[in-house]
Amino acid sequence: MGPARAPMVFSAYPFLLLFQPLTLVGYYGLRAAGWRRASVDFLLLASFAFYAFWSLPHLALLIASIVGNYYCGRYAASAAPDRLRRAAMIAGVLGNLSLIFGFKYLDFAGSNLSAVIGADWTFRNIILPLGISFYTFQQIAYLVDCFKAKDGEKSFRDYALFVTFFPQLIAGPIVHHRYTRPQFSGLAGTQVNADYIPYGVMIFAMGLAKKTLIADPIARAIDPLFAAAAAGDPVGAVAAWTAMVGYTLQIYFDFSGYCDMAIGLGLMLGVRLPVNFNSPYRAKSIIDFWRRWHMTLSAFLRDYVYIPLGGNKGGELFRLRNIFLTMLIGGLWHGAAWTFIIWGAIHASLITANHAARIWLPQLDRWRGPVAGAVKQSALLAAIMVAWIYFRADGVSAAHAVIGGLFGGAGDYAPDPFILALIAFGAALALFAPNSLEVAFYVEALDRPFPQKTSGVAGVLRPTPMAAAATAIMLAAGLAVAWRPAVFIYFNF
Amino acid sequence: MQKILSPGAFIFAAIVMTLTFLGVCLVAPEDPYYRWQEHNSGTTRKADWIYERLHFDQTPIDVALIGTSRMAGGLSGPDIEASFCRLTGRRIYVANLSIPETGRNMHYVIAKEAMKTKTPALTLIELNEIEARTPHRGFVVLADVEDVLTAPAFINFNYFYDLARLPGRQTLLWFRWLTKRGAVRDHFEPELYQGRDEDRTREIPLLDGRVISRFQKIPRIDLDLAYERRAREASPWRLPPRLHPLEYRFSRLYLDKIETLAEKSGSKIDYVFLPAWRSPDYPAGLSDDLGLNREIIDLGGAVAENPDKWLDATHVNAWGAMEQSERLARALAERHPALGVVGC
Repeated sequence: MGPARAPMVFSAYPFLLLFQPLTLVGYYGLRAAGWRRASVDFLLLASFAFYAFWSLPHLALLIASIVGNYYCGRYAASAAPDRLRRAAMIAGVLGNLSLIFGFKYLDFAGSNLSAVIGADWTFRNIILPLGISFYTFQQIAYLVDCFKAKDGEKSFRDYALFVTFFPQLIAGPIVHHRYTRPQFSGLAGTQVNADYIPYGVMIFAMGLAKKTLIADPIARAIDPLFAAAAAGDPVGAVAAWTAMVGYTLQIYFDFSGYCDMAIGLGLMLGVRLPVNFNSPYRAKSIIDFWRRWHMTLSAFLRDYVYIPLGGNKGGELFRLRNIFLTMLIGGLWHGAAWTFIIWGAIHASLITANHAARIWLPQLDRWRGPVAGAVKQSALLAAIMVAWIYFRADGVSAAHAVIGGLFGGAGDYAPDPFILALIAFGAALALFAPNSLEVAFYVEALDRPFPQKTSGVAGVLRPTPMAAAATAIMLAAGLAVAWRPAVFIYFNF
Repeated sequence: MQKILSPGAFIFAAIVMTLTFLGVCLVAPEDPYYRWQEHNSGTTRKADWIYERLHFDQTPIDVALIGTSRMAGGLSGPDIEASFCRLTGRRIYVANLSIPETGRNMHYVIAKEAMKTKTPALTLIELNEIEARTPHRGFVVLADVEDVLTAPAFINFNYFYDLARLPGRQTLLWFRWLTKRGAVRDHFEPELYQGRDEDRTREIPLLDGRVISRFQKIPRIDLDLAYERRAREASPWRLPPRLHPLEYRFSRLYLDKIETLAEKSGSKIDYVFLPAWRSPDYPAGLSDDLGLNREIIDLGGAVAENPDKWLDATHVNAWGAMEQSERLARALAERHPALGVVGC
């Protein structure tokens, strides 16, 4: 049972020229005919088709997961005794964890155990279902919320759409049911806010440009450098620095570009999705970084890992332990490999040290001003960049080869001046420019209006003729570059 | 402050301008040499050499070979030249312009370039026991803009995909033209040129620098297994008999275009059947469906049954290529004895 083809990537022709136009036509066609409920159900079918494009057998697995979680959620939210509701919730959570363990971690665990005890417990031919880390975590959160609030989704169709809504199905953002529930039920009963649509197109175009014009060219330049390191070739300083800085920018523009596209697609369908990135490389501390990077994962880890571990109850040391463990689990969530565990451990150590410094070295926290800011931000970026090497490298030894190369001789690698210019441009955007959602003045909170009508708080971008031209340039460039498409990094998780 | 557009007006403006920008890309300047450097089959490359042979090498071409990897590795230009000389006492120059993978639209692209630059006295087009129904994947990489735009849409599985990719290709080529940087080299370098005949009947150079020798053969059982797999997956016709001409309409259309080009440039066209393992005969009727209307040069027969001549089930090895090249030279000596010039 293997996937038939590559997943449907937002930046590739099958999606851009077929799936998305047909989905919009079908969705708004049904709404124009007055069949609003049917239009919402159509989104569910479109989402199934989106997933099935990659693999029909794995769609069956996804649907089975949805059915199981839906019924666990119904029971956990029912009027049954608390112990039975709790049992249903725990059963559902364990089911999700078993699923993700079986598909994602079994081979890693078996291989490592085999290395220790000399057995042969490898499961290399297991295919990782697309988006499993996202849809299982989203459903775990749903089950816990059902139990706590004694309230769950009554409609199976709406629950299935909450899990499979194609803009966020494969790589997030991780969405809470309480966030999408009023929106999906609203779509079935009322009109789509037409003002969302031009903003959706503009944000989508910016995401497409980030992915295809910045992340992908950088990836094409640095992939051979990491491959050479994995092959055991010596890595010179120029290659190592290019690889490290290039990947730091690639992963940001790739993932935040994907999230922009997801938010843009959501808006085109009349649905707001949560913000996942807020200029993370402008963070002043590692704590601040994790409030800006993959924000929905950070919130999930806080609510469903850190707090169940005890949170900040039980004293400072206990709290620091919980922080460390939470971040370590966050690292492991990204993938079943020692490189991800090391990456998680580095971030766990940094964030724990940051919290510890706030407790026991408050003067460090109070050291402010331009010089202090520059020093802190430089140190933070250096640590984050080194950690990214583990995240990207094909194995720990390859990561060490690149890190060693940072401090070695220059080597014979001569970077393409165009790529260097692109890296410099990307760095300037990431460090100094407002991000795409700030430019569009995107509002995540459902109780606040979007787009803002008051000119005094208007963002830079408005649906003007000039904005239409800028959007067209980005769409045309993205479509042009898509003749050689590349997959999104977070599709692997 | 600029006027705020209504959602409908904004979407309309954005779509119109996007299409306009994409259209502008199609007329952007480019260097065709850079375009021919963009193609590779994933493991090997040859298109850049073909362009160099046609544009930068002053040696004339008497016989151009146009086909797939079966012809690229199955017929040796130098061997044909030597045999023809021995048989007729005349000197000819053979250029094997075949490129891996099937699809007649690619043969048209190469024939067009060859007849525009060298006007070969004779162009030999490859025929196989199974005619490809699908276009060549590399067509959108190598074809002129107008050929992509005017390709048949109804019988061409790749038409819209190729059309969508065209602005991207032209943007890349425009960028290469502006920066004067090609995918392989920035300008023609005679010292790096592979020579007037890139003979791939003895060895195959791969993109990663490795070279595969064709002086090898595989066990007969493996050949038979591959044959049976191929026989299950492919048949000469899939449509009912009444629709046979339609099944190969795509190939026929491009073969017709090649014939028209040849007629205009004064080049003769002949068709050469190159067999696969255990497929010694050209299927009866396929020639009519392709509208060939002439006797083909048949290199099938015994070689298709001799396991010592095969590298795999569809490609002869070096010994097979020697035999096929000799047979082709004999056929040319018989059918076109006046090719080339007197004296070897």
